[in-house]
Amino acid sequence: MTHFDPDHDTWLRFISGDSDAFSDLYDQYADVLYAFGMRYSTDRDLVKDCIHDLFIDLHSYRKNLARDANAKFYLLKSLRRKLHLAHRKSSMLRFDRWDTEDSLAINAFTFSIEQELITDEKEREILQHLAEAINRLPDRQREILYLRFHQDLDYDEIAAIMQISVPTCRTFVYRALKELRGKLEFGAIFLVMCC
Amino acid sequence: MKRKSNKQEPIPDPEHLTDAERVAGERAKLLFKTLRNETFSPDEKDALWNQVGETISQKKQRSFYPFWIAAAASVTLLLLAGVGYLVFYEDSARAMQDVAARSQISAEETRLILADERAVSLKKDQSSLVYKENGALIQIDSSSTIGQQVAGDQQFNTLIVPYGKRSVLTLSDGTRIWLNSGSKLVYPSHFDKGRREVYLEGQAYFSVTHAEDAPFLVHTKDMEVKVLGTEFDVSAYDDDPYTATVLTKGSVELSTQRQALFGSKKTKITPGTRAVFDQQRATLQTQQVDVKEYVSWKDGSLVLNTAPLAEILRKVSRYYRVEIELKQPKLAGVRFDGELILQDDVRDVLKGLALATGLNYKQQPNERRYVLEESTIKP
Repeated sequence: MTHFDPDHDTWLRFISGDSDAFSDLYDQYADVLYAFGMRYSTDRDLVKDCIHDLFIDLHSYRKNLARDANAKFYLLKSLRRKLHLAHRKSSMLRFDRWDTEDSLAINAFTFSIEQELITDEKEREILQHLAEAINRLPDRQREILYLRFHQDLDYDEIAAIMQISVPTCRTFVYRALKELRGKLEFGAIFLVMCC
Repeated sequence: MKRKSNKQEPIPDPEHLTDAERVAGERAKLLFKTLRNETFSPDEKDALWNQVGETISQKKQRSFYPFWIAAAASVTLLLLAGVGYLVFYEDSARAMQDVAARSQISAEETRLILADERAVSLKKDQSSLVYKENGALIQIDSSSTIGQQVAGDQQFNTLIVPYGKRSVLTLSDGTRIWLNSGSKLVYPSHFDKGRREVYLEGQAYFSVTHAEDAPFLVHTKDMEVKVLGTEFDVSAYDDDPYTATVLTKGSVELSTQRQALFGSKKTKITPGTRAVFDQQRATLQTQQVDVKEYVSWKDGSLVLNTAPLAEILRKVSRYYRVEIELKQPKLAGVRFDGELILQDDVRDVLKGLALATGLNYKQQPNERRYVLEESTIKP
């Protein structure tokens, strides 16, 4: 899981107590973390609070951090954990809901296909349908796709973040793609029929 | 989807996808690249960073947590205790101190000021006052008697003894107090049950009547002497840099720095001990002394026990409120033994002193100033 990138240097400098590295780490990842946090919550302040707490923890426990950890993976994982805890805490305080639904669900995705220079009208239609299909997938599957395709994490990392086994992780991806394929086929047929 | 898989899992893994699935995957990947992210402004980013910094610096301060909590708690307790002490306990001491501040030691005569502000002059150099009938009657110099109202709120009498005079006071509980020259004593016109408190500026010798249930408290500006029944001397002159207590018999408990909210220091002393509170250094020191040296004044004499001339002259000058100059400073350290009778006139005392030391004494044109010098004609 060791990623040899310049970011890893920041991580190492940070662990060895370089205070510039701490601020570099923040500069580098605050935006990523904010975007990531807002996938799970709509509460901007809550996400900021969690990022705040995360950096406080980082600072407090820096001596105990793994030197070979991937900074981004570590930060995303920690933030998700914080969000999960916050979510659980707030749902425990809601007395109108007695279900034990305390899992952290990822929000619906908003893709902006327009940005991609896709000239083919049909391809755009397909992507549009795929986007809708993705949003109809179960939460866990959507989350995995997001972590895999958007955050470029590997299965080990995804499994660690979601607290599932690596095979389960793979299965989820497989099922998701199978589902999407089916939806796509259906969508394609639908398109053909319409045209 | 470029991940290598070296396992042959029973579960289909993304490596073994059908073409259709692979295409779906590629498309999904493309879509996820277009995912619109929530962003926060550079200002928000900076603000959050500052918050992080702030929390860290607070945490650093808080790393002394248990210590500071304990410290804060004890300060709070001490403050409460101190305030309570000052409000409830020091009440009469403060009231008496205020009364003392109202009258000056200026008059040539000893004065008794009653609660109703009547002032009684005591003509004799060594006057005596005896409180009778629980303070309602005061017999002055065994000749005249005055009455005062003692019912109701606690009210105070003040006895002011100027320099060169002395006074003996017998309170309603039988306690006798010898007040030295240049002293002020404030005391209640009558003692309430369970409390006997007086306030002293200057020097006094106390012979306290024993009362188990009513401790006797002598307050001074920076020392408090608490006794049940005993004999001791308290010296708390304004122009001395110290307050001292000498114990003749029994035992007394001293509290110093009572104004300090961080708790007063309590010390018990035994007979023959002199406890001196140094105002500058705020320390209390005790030493064994010849008690007579410190209490002989009440019987009208100065007991000298290898006392340096400078000290003898200081005592005499205070007693009579005169200035005495020693012409030859080298004589200041010469020590003398014996007893110096404190006669009514300072000139008689100086005459005796000159005789004993082989010095000459002269009175300056200013009549409160005397000079002691070596005789030019050796005997």
